[in-house]
Amino acid sequence: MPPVEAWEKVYVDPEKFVQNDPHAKVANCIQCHGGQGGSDDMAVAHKGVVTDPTANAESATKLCGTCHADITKAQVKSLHFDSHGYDTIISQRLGDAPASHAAWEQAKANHCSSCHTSCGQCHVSQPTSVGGGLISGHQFKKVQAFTRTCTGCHGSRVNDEYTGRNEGIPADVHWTKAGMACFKCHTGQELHGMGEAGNQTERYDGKPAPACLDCHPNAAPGQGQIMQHNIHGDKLACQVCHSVANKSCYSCHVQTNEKGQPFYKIEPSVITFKIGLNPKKSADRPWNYVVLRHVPIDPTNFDFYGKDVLAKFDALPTWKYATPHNIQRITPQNKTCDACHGNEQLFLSEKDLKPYEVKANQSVIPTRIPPKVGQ
Amino acid sequence: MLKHAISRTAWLFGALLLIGLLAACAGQPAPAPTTVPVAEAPTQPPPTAAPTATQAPTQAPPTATLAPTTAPLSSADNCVKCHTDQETLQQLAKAEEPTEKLSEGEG
Ligand code: HEC
Ligand code: HEC
Ligand code: HEC
Ligand code: HEC
Ligand code: HEC
Ligand code: HEC
Ligand code: HEC
Ligand code: HEC
Repeated sequence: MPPVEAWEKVYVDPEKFVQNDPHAKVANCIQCHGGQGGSDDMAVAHKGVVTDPTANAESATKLCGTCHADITKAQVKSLHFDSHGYDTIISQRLGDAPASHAAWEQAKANHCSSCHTSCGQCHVSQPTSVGGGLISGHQFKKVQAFTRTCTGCHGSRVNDEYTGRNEGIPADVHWTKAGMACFKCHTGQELHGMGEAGNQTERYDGKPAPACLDCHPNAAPGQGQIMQHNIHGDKLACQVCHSVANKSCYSCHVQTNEKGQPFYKIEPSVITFKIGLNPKKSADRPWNYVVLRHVPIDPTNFDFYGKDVLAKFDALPTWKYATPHNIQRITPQNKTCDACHGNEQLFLSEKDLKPYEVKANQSVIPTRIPPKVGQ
Repeated sequence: MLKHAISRTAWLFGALLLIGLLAACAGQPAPAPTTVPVAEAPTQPPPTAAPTATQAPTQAPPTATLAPTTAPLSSADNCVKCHTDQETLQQLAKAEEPTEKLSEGEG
């Protein structure tokens, strides 16, 4: 992200915010941020200041809920607000011992809080994880530039794929051809956790949101002329044919230093393209085959916090359901039928696994790959 | 749902605006002859720092009791003044100290 000058991060636009933004009339600075009135001294004035008044559920409800009741009620329970998706996934691998759970709680508190997403982090300022700072003179905007908000947190994987920053790999066609911002596909409803999104236990829970077919109904089997669409029914996820090589990560170890500051060490990412069996198969996601991506879990991720924290490491694969943001019309694997059929390299196999993860991935390794069709 | 929210919002806004206007009017001194500068003094909150009193005998003495009554709600005027002034901010806002990079690799 391009840096913002230090002063600009705290500059409040007298016209656009103080005079014209309804939210400057809702309350004064102190009612939202705390601090001391009547002093010219910066240190005194800032005593007790709260940088993000929407950071906890109680204050967000008090400050925003009066006028934006439905949004606020949903948002403070959403995946973005409390990151409960991590609990859903990690807890399946935790050992039964209470110590495992305690260790995870501690690690989560230390390492996950900077990605906690309040109203302010999408509507007013840059996210805390990149140092915060006002974006447009403190105006509350329905959408701020996604390069200042979303990609502050979804940068190294989603943004690099979407805007084509991985060397040799093209950007997503929705970016190159249509310049679509994140929220053209991810609606406020979804991000606030309203409606069906309100029941999500993790990011791929429930119906795809968005679904590719929402915007491309003609790609459904039998709805158009493209043979590859018609022949496979709903056996392949769209990304199996339309996304390209994407980022896989390994072994993120988390710990704190003597001063208690959290940090992590992660192995360099690798670019992979692997098709495997659908670990999340359901009526909502009926495909047999999906794209898989390696996530940075390994049995010793949390060793700093305790022994055998991930005692049930094998409960889930390490190659996970993925929907890479680098969609192309023609891809290396869909340019002919046999670019895919009979092409063993595309499909996940034991050869792709490190010894510690062989067991965990048995359920996603295809037992047979489709034979060549001669086209 | 949306309509409902908006009408409630609009109502609240109206109410707030009204309260705001009423408060603003109430706070205004009755159409005072603007030519009399002295009338302005009392509306200003007394300086809390004592030394000023010696220079300005016309101002009310800085009694502690006056302050809370003139400013029932902490005024945010100073916040606005400073945060809308580019020059002041440029002087005061410091780029974050380059924090020691503890983490290794993409995250
Ligand atoms: C007193 C009522 C009120 C409160 C309290 C309030 N808002 Fe609003 N908000 C509004 C109104 C009215 C609009 C519509 C303004 C418009 O259409 O220009 C709005 C619009 C918005 C928008 C969209 C702005 C745009 O570009 O259209 C966002 C985002 C928002 N509010 C966030 C918040 C947050 C976050 C809080 C809590 C810190 C909050 N609001 C508190 C009344 C309120
Ligand atoms: C402060 C960091 C942060 C910001 C800013 C942020 N996100 Fe997220 N986002 C996260 C985290 C963390 C998760 C995972 C939460 C979980 O799984 O528990 C997430 C999950 C998601 C998901 C999957 C879950 C869902 O709600 O559908 C989508 C899609 C998403 N973000 C898109 C966006 C978009 C679009 C924006 C910008 C408008 C954005 N995010 C801004 C941190 C952030
Ligand atoms: C992860 C990012 C994210 C977070 C967190 C978030 N919002 Fe939003 N918000 C959005 C997006 C995206 C939209 C939709 C913009 C659009 O559709 O044009 C939106 C729209 C809105 C709107 C305008 C609604 C309308 O129908 O016009 C309001 C008001 C709003 N948000 C308030 C809030 C409040 C209050 C919170 C916190 C309780 C919050 N938002 C948290 C991303 C977010
Ligand atoms: C309705 C509540 C509200 C009011 C009124 C308000 N703010 Fe904010 N302010 C916020 C929110 C929400 C954020 C975003 C915080 C975040 O996302 O980290 C914010 C962010 C900021 C930031 C940036 C903090 C950072 O480092 O990221 C500054 C500076 C700031 N406000 C100053 C002011 C000043 C000065 C006033 C009075 C003119 C004011 N605010 C009025 C809600 C408010
Ligand atoms: C052309 C539509 C489209 C655009 C534009 C888009 N996304 Fe997505 N995104 C999707 C789809 C489809 C999914 C998979 C949803 C599902 O299966 O539930 C997804 C899933 C996600 C997820 C959750 C899965 C994951 O990989 O972690 C995140 C986070 C996310 N998007 C962030 C973003 C961000 C940030 C941007 C902007 C840089 C963006 N998206 C732009 C379509 C889009
Ligand atoms: C919110 C609507 C939306 C969603 C969701 C969406 N797309 Fe698109 N898609 C578009 C638009 C708009 C274009 C550009 C159309 C154009 O200019 O030809 C496009 C273009 C494409 C193209 C290129 C078509 C061409 O003629 O070159 C492909 C392939 C594609 N989308 C596949 C997908 C896939 C796969 C998904 C799900 C991961 C998806 N889209 C999700 C709106 C969407
Ligand atoms: C088996 C591989 C395969 C699968 C699975 C697949 N596609 Fe395609 N798709 C193709 C090929 C090949 C083309 C290009 C045809 C051409 O240009 O001749 C294409 C073209 C497209 C186009 C551009 C078509 C047009 O009419 O302009 C869109 C949009 C698209 N696909 C969307 C999707 C969506 C959405 C899904 C999932 C529901 C999907 N595809 C699943 C292989 C596939
Ligand atoms: C990107 C990969 C990919 C492409 C491209 C692709 N297929 Fe397939 N195809 C598959 C997979 C995987 C299956 C197995 C689906 C299942 O059994 O669930 C399959 C199944 C089939 C089947 C059913 C027979 C079987 O062995 O399961 C036929 C027939 C078929 N494909 C024909 C074609 C033709 C013809 C084309 C080109 C027009 C094509 N495929 C392009 C991946 C692909």
